Amino acid sequence: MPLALGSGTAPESVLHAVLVAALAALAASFLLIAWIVVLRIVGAAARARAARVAARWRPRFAAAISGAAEQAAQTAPRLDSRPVLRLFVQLALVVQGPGAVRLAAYGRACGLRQLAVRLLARRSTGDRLLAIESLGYLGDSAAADALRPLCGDEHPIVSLGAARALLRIDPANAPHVVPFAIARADWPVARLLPMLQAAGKPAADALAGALRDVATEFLPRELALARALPATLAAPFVRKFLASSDDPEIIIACLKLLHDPRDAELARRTSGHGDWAVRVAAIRALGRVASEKDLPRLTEALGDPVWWVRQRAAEAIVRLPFFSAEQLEHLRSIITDRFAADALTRAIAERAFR
Amino acid sequence: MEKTAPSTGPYILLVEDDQDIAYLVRFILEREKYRVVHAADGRDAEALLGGPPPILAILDVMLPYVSGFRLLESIRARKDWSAVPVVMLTSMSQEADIVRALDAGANDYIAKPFKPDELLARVRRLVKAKP
Repeated sequence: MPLALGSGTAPESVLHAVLVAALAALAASFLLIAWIVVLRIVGAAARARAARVAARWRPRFAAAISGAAEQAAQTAPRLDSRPVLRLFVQLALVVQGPGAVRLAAYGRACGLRQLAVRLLARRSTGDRLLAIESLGYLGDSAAADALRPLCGDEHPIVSLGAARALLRIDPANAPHVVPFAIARADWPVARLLPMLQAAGKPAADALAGALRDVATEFLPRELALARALPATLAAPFVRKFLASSDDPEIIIACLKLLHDPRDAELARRTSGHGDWAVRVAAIRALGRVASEKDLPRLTEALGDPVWWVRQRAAEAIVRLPFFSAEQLEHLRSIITDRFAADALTRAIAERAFR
Repeated sequence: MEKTAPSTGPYILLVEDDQDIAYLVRFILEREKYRVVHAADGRDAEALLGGPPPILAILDVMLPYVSGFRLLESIRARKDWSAVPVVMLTSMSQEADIVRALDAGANDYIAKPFKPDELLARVRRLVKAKP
């Protein structure tokens, strides 16, 4: 039966629908509140567990790091896996040398590797990352077999973490890691360079080997990674590819590696390239290896039509070790090109901040 | 863990907000029979400047409220604290911090990750050198 409301009537079905919607909204609110309460309880329990674990394990790890009298290894319970491993990784991050070696040995004796391997099998990315970092710092070569396949994991953070852990466990794993470093565009070069440098000779040999077996598709990335090589190892590749390639991307990557004054002519030859990005790289390289006879060339670059080239030329001139402040001021006073003068003025002003 | 300066006796002041690093450094030093007073942030550390000076101060660079550099300036500005040897704890990647610390009057620095033995050696050297 319809009910009368004001000037109109509302069918019973509409009122029924409104009532159901209101009850549903109320139920959802209660569920949300209950969920928040559960999260708070779980969070508080996790914090309490972490505090208990820290109180129990921090002294043991600290004693291991400092080489205190040999203490018996204690097996960490599975329930405490996450807080124990987290504490282990946090301490491993801040120590190096013999202290780090002692911490890793103690961690292995306490069965942390088994805890980490178990955590590695879980689906949670956070758990897997914690496991990977732990295995890396535990330095147990037996864990390498579990980590190697992860370099191909679709998740870039997981795969990069696995690569870092492998190199930390043993730099001899570099031949396995370097091909991934070259092929995976989702691994940032800036993250890879310190990893590869820390791995030392095995990584340098693997990189140099990759540069020798050139697959042109990956050459720009290989050259970017070659910044991890000692300058003397990289120089032959710089000369080879600058002499043979006309690809601007490759030329730029090579110029970034140019540090040998004997290769200054290579930078001079490219400083007039048609591609402005190449001219920028050439000017920067020339700035690193220039002699006094390069001053006219750098001064000429101050008048380049592209702003970036002018700025880099100005910075290169200002940083020349044989160019005094008085000579700089004299140069600024005789430049007639307004844009060139602006670039030089800015570079001189910025030098005062350094 | 002591958080106020002892009224008598030599002590080392440690200012570090990371609990794990603070625990580790304190453990290493107390094992060598040094008494350590720990401040977890720059504000707590500044409150200690009114008390007796330590035989050595170890300051982290990145601190809540008052940075390690500001603290160093405050220490050098106080007559009774100006001669306290100061070691800065810096991150390895922040070379500029190391230069800035030494320019500002720090006696030495320890870059993280650090070697515990090296930390101890530097502490011993500075504590011995203090007149």
